[in-house]
Amino acid sequence: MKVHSGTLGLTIIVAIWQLVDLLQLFNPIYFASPLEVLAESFDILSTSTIYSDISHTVLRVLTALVISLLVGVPVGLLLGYYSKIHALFGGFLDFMRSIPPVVFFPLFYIALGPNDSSRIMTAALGASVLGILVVSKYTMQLDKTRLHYFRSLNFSQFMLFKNIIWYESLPAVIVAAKAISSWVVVIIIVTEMLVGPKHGLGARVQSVQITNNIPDLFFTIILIGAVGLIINILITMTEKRLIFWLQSD
Amino acid sequence: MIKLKNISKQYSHKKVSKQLFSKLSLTIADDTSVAVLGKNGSGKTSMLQIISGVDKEYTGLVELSANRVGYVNQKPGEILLPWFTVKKNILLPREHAGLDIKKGERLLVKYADILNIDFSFEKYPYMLSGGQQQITSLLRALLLEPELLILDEPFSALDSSKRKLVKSFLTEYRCSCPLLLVSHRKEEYSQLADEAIILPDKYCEKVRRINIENVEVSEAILESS
Repeated sequence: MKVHSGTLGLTIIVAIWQLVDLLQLFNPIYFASPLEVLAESFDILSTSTIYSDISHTVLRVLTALVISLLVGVPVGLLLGYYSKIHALFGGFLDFMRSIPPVVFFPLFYIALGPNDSSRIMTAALGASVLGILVVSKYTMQLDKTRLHYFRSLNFSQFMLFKNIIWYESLPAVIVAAKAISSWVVVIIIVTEMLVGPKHGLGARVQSVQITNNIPDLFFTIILIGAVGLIINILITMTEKRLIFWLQSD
Repeated sequence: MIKLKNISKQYSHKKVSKQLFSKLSLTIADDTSVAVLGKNGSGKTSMLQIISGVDKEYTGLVELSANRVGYVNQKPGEILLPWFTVKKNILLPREHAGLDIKKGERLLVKYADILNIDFSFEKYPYMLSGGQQQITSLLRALLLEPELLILDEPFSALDSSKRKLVKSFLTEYRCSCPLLLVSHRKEEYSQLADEAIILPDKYCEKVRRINIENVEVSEAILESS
């Protein structure tokens, strides 16, 4: 029977996890076995609050992701295609990238209030900078021969964008989306933990910590990973449809 | 007519730069088909790209009497659009030039028949072989109804039977549209050109112009191809 490699790998990891628990390599006060987590998961999934937590976090993540792409892609393309503009702002972007985005959360919290806007804008800011850097770097490395050829045929900037630049940039957009999505999940979860909203997976981590329900905590961590993984899978599925000509390579 | 005045071009790659041309000037009369010859690295492709307008990184002046220039790249995959079908690739420049699309489609059928095209125009370039991509690139240039056709090694990816077909086609075609081509095969450029321009190895040396009937191609040029 042929076993999918990913499934086999996951099985090995779960087996190691169970073995660690059996050998009591960690204090059971702060460690839960896969079986305990599985048992707890049935209780958790039968309650209504978990779905509200998931949906609130996913909505924040998706909103921040869309904003980051709307900012990161066009600005990244501009910097990638026009080296003089990149020379002006490249250094500043590298500087911004070095600042952990979550440190801007207090600023947004004061300016926008204790609501989703401050969380989303914090994530969007950090992810936009990353998006700009990824897209601009990819675009700078593109072979410009195709563009030069159509320019020689007197294609206008609009026609160049519509027929060439947009399509050539799609791989960069996908790469940026994958990089940004992980970053956005991290920032949203951390901001949910810092000043907890009523609903959200980060807020759930904080409240479960207080009750000391370790299997619940483990399960919530796995859920957070699953959210990121599902978003990545959706991006990969979009990639296969959008940039079909590269899938054949 | 093609007129080059004081063309200078430097080629830079990974901190290594090479002077390709220094104040190169030459004139090619109307209705004259020319083969550009020279060793590898002498600037043949660069010259064609400068004349076609693809390469703008040079100093000097290029004057063309031709309004529409068809260009076939040495590596056609580089300038075909992989996200559009072959048909769209072929017709897009024609459509942009404001030429009649219906007539273009009729021309396409005619050329496809002459060149014995064996692939579907609904395919995408990445589905084609190198030779098929080269034919696609040629068709795209032809459908522009150019007044000058620039061909950079147009036979390199073609098998021998296709090469014969294309050569035969271009031999007749050049009666209505002059060619400017790079080819390393004497049997190809001798049939398609009236004269040859031989680029020197070093930019400081002179460019030679020779009537194609009198071309004595040195073994060195052929061997270095």
